[in-house]
Formats: sequence, C-alpha cells, structure tokens
Amino acid sequence: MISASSSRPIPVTVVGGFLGAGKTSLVNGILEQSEERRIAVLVNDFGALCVDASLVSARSARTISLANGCICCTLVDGLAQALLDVLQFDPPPDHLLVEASGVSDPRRIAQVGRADPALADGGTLVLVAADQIRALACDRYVGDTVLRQLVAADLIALNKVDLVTDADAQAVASWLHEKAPQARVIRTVNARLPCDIVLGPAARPDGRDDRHRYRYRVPSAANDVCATFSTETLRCSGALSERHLRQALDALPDSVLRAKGYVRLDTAPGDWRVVQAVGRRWSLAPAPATVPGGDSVLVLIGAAGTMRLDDSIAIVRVFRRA
Amino acid sequence: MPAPKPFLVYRARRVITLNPVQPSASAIAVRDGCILGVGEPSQLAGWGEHRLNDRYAECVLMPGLVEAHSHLLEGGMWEYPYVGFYPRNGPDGRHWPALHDIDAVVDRLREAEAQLEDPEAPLVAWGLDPILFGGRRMVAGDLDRVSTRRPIAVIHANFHVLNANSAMLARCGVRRDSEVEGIVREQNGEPTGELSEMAAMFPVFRVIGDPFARGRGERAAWNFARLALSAGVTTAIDITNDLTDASVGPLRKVCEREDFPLRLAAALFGNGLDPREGIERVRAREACNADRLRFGSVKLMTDGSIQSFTARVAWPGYYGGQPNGMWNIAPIQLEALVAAYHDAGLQLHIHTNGDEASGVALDALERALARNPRPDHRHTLQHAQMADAAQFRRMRALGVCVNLFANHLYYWGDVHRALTIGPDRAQRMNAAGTAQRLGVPYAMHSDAPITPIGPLFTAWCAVNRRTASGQVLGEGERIGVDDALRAITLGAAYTLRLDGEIGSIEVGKRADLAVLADDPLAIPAEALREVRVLGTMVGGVAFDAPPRVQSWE
Repeated sequence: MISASSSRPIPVTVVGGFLGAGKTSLVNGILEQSEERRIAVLVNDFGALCVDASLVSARSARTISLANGCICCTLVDGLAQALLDVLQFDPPPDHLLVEASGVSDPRRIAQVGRADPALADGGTLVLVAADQIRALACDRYVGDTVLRQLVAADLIALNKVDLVTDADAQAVASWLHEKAPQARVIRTVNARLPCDIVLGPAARPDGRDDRHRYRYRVPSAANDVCATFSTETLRCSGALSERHLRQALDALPDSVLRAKGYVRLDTAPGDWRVVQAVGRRWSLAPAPATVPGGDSVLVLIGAAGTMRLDDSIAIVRVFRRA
Repeated sequence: MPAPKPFLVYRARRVITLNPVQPSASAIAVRDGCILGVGEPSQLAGWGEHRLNDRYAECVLMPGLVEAHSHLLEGGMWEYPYVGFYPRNGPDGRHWPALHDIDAVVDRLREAEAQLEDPEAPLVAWGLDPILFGGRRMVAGDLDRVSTRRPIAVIHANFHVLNANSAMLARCGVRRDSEVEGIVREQNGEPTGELSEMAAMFPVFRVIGDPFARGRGERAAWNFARLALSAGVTTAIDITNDLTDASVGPLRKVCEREDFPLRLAAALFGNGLDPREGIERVRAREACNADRLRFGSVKLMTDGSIQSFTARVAWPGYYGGQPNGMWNIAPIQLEALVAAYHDAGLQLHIHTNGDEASGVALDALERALARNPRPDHRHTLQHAQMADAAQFRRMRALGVCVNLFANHLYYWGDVHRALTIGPDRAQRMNAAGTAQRLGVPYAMHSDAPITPIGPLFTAWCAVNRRTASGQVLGEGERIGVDDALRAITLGAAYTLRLDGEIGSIEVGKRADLAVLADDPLAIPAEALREVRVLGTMVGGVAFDAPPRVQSWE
C-alpha cells in the first residue's frame, strides 16, 4: 500500500518472444553486465536464471536480491504482485526488465509502464530465433501469437543467426521488416546484447563521454557482440529548437536503435527535458529530480558502422544549430 | 471386545441417496462420522444400540454437494461490499439484493462508506456488471457522489475491469496524458474512471493491494466455508493454489477444526512452474493428506475466457470477427507439462474454454496416454464450454472427465448468443446432454467467485438451460434432474477422486449431507434453483446454514 511517489519513474522494458527465442539467455546476460544499474528482472522461472548462489544476498518467496544490487522476482503470482513486490524495495531499482511468457503479447505488458506514474515505458524488445520464426509464424495454433509479438516490438533481436546462412538471415530480416515495419531489427547470437541496447543508454547530463562504455561493461565472452555496436554523442551548450527536435526525432535514421539524453529547449530554456527513443518511438518529457547544469547531450546507439551521423541527418543539424 | 458405541439414527422426510441400488430411504444411521446404514429405522435398529434423532424429520437429505471448480478468493472478496447485478448471499447469510442501476450501486456504496472508521482508507467493492445496465457505463462522477475525498475502487464481476472515483484517480496518478489503452476516456480525453485490464488497473492496486491475493488466509477460508455451507456444499476444491506454506498453512489450521464445515481439496497451479518442482510440491503435500484436506492434482490453464475474447476458439472464430484469444501456455509447453505430471502419476485439471483449446488439451492427453497408458487417471477438462460432439467422443475414448461451467448458460448465455460465438455454437455450450449420452464422466461448477457457489443453481442451469433473459439455449443439451443431482455430487466427487468416500449416501461413506427443506425430485424442474438449503452435515457433525433469502426474479 503505497501512494504514488514523486521520485524518478522507473523504466519498464519488456522482453518478449516465443519459446526458444533466447529470452532467458538475454536476461542472464543483462544480469551479468548490470554493474552500474540496479535492475529488477521479473521472470517466469527462477530456476532458469544462472544466479551464482554466492552472489545472493537475500531471498524471499518471490524475490532474490543479488549482491550487485539487482533483484529477481518471479511472476508466478502474476505481474501485478511482482510489480508491487519490486516497488517495495528501498532504494527502488533503476530499471525493470519483464520477461514475457513465450505466448504472451508484450504490448499488453508494456502498457504497465505507461499507466503508473511510478513507472515509465522502457521499450519492447522481441527476440526471434532465425532458424524457427518463419515456420512458427505459419503454425496452426501459435502463428497469430507470434505475429502479434512481432508487431508489439520496438526492437527485434534476430537471434541465432549463426544457425542459418547469411542469405537466410537476410531473407528473415526482410520478412521481419515486412511483418513488423515499425520495428528495428538487430542480428545477434546467443541473445547477447549490450545492456544499453536492451535497456537504453545510461546517458547522464554531466557531460561524460559515453562513447566507450561497452569496453568495460560487456564481459569478454561477448566481445564479438559489443564490437558490432557503437554510440555517438551529440552535444551543445545552447537551447535546442523544440520544433526542430521533434521533427528530427521523427526522422531518426533506421540505423539508430536507441537514444537517450537530457536537453534544454528554446520553449523553456530553464528546464531540462529527457529525450528517449527506442526503435521508431520517442518521447520528450520533463526531466525529473534535479539535473546539474551543462550541455544538452544525446547519446545514440546503433549497429557499428551503420550510424553515419553527418549534416545530412536532421538530429545532427538540430544540435549544430543550437 | 468392547461393546460398540451407540450410534445415531436420523429420520428424514426423504433420503435421496444417489445410490441406484437403494435410491430412496427414510433414515440413515451414522457412527464415527460415517454412514453405518441406510433404510427404514426398523432395519437400522439391527445394528444395535442407538439413539433416534429427529432434527431432520421434516427435511430431505442428499449427499453433501460437491463443488469441483472454485477458488478460495470467493471467501476473500467478501471483505468488500458486493454491488452486483445479480443477488448474492454473503458468508454471514446476509442477502445482497440485485442492483439494477448505477443509482442503486451508489446508494449501497454510501452505506458501506459510512461504516468505514478510518477516513483515509480506500473503499473497495466488487461484482459490478455494467454490461447489464443497458449501455450506461459508470463514471468517476457517479462514485464521487459517494465521496470526493475517499479513494474508491469498484471491481467488476469479470475481475478484468474496475471503476475509480476522482479521489482514487488523483491518488494513484492516472492522468489525462497516461497513454494506456485500458483507460476509458470521455470524448475530451479525460479518463472516465473505468480502467480495463491489468496495466490500467495496476496504479489502483498500488493503493488497495492486489485483490487476487485475497484468497489466502484463514479468514478467506472461513468465509468460503460459510458460503459453501449455505449452498449445501460439504466438499470443494481450491483449484488454483500454489501449495506454498503461506497458502497451505492456513488451510491446514482450519481443516483441523471440527467446527470448520467443509472438506477441501487444493490443486497446484502448474503454469509457469518447472514440473520437477511442481511434482515435488504436490508429493510433499500429498504425504500429509488429511480427512478434510486433500492434495494430488495439478491445474494447467491453456486459454482465457470466452466473454473476454481471450479463449482460443476454433474456426470460424468469434462471431464479431474479433482476433482469436490468447494462450496461457503454448500447445507445445502444455504437451510437455501434461506428459511430466501424467508420468508422475498425478491427476490433471486442464482449463480449456474455447474449442481450439479443448482440442489441444485432448491432443496432449492422447500423446501422454499413448506413450504411457495409465488406468483410471481421471484427467479432467475444466470448463470445456465449447467442446463439440467429436471432442466428447475423444474424451470418452481417452477416459477423460469433463467439468462443465453450466452457470455460464444463465449468466452469459445471452452475451454468447448475441456477441461472442453466435447463436449456433452457443446452443452446444456446456454440453451436459452430450456427456450424458456418450458416457463421459462429468461434473458441473460455479468457478466461484466468477459466479456464486451453489450446485443446486448449477444443476438448474444444466436442466433448464435458461439464460438470464429467459431464453432456452440448446434444448437438446438439457439433462434430467436426477442426472443433474448426480453431477453435483457423485459426478463432481469422481473428478476429485473422492467418489469412494463421498458423493452418495452409502454404507461406509462419510456422513456428509446436504439438508434441504424441499425435495428436488418432487418439484418442477424449473424450480430446482429455489430449493432451500437448511444446513449440512460434515463427517457426522451437523451445521445450520444461516437463514437465507432466495429471490431470483
């Protein structure tokens, strides 16, 4: 029984995808590389998590607290109960990651992040197995379920590309673009994705350069994966044109998977706003809590070598102009 | 050898035994909580020294009724005032008359509000069914007439929707700019106060707690038992239990008490649980099975509900062209879970509302049985509301039982015919007639709290198949009163694997009785739901039902 708090809303990221798409592997990977964030993962099956017993700091019927500050919570009593449980933690987690069941519609779960003022929409990532997805989409019983998952995605992780030929991977990617035109597709192996892709970049308004953060964040086993992503940081000292910023966010290139930053706008130069983008969706909201002064900063993440942020890109021009 | 203790002989107006060898009698003898004899008092005297007891001399005795699909949440919800469209009786026997418009709901909430001592406490009510208010939806302004200060939440009968007043919307932070589909809005974009599905309801749960957690604890169990007593029920199942200490501990405590008027069974909810752990949990509980508390079965849930359009329906789908419903577990997962629990020797209760879900469940059972035949498994399809004749033939061939949701015919029959699945398939819903003709072992249920616990009402539904508007839905699926009475006693006991102990009045069985003021076999079939329950006997202990008002129309 808590009243709506006035503290920073906690982003909720939903990981969806059919059975065998790699959701549990992804969650395990995120828990390994969480380091700087206190993530609460809400999962269907505790048993499937690779939680080192020596790292467990506390355990209750529905939650396990880890030494690194992360929390695992079971969905066995329903999403509502699990959310009530994790919101009781003091201090609250920085981010919630909900593992949807293999047949649920991630869109329904993502709605939770938009309803409660204590929560925020942290985007929806849907995993698909490159070798199975097209057959599943034709399955008599679950075909419609799988297609519903695809259209719920901001980002689709085309996983297990090592199990198919390059040509097949390309064919599946094209097929995904057709079935889920709203989503941006990322190829991966063993569901290994950097935290900043799954949860969004941990951009801070203190001017720190986030460009090389993966170097130390992603464990060595995943180096091949982090090598395939890069970040770009846009920065300026003046206030941005709100109108141009909104237009530029609408026109973000497909190569940008996620973006986050804190900006000041010409419409209210004294106030900080938080900009977030995932896939084709973006939001511009008042920045909660106190933000130290400094530059407006926007961190963009995309597949390595694909984000060519030159003056032909609207968002770059917005920062240049200010 | 010590002389046997004297036993009691209860004379009755009539004893309906449900035992075909001796269908009717005028007295029963009870010793040590069990039926010693059935017959005429003079025959029973042959057992030796006894005492006559005439407390039931004017009553009709039946085997204690059995509810084989219910949730202890029914007991928990009575923490809150009831504001439903249909009349309902509370655990204290209080009759809550039907509320047929929003003004009536507001009046009842005002009464409840006046009784709350803590001025800050939220007011929660349940059972609202605005589908039946002729198109008028409740809005925050209606509830603001109850209080502008106190946060109010009214949970709908379907548990998928609630209404909040302005104070609640403000307290939980639901705003105009909240981008959530489940927030119903005025044309100007303001939330009306109606919040649909979990995401939109969650901010309210942050204020009032998760109402679905109310089924735990001794109080919920006691309330549930009192409701069961009022309905003549002596055995019921809590069909979606997690079997953790928090859930089972209170049940153990209440079931040890002789004044607790109910036998309970509890099935493990197996969705989302590793079956190895599930099997271990059931086995551990089973080892401590007691007279009044039984474990040993597992519930799996395949799909959603028809009225919420979340059931998985076979071609041609929903009547209005709505997209097909949602799986709770994928067919391939179901198959793996069914195999694991079947191989472990446990019994499965598989929730299937839509006919596609029933087909998938039967596929899974067929494979498990082909690989590992097991006599007398008693696996049961729960609800199977839309199952067609061919699926009933498969049940028969596989030895699968069915527990039909007959109450749906009354409560949602009109909606099913007009909106969900259309007039043709609505006729075959909850096909007790087909089950009877084909010899599929069947029971019927309330799914309390979805509908009130009351097997005699459930039997009335299966016998008459009348909807709330009075239409007959599928005359060909009607069954006779005698068959319906069997379904709510022996039939239900069979699906709980308790038919050797309860479900009929036979020598050696437990002295579990429903005590009735009217004879269900001597009144017109249309009047079956009006049969008055005076009390029960559980293991030879008599319980009086709280005085109860019946008012159906």
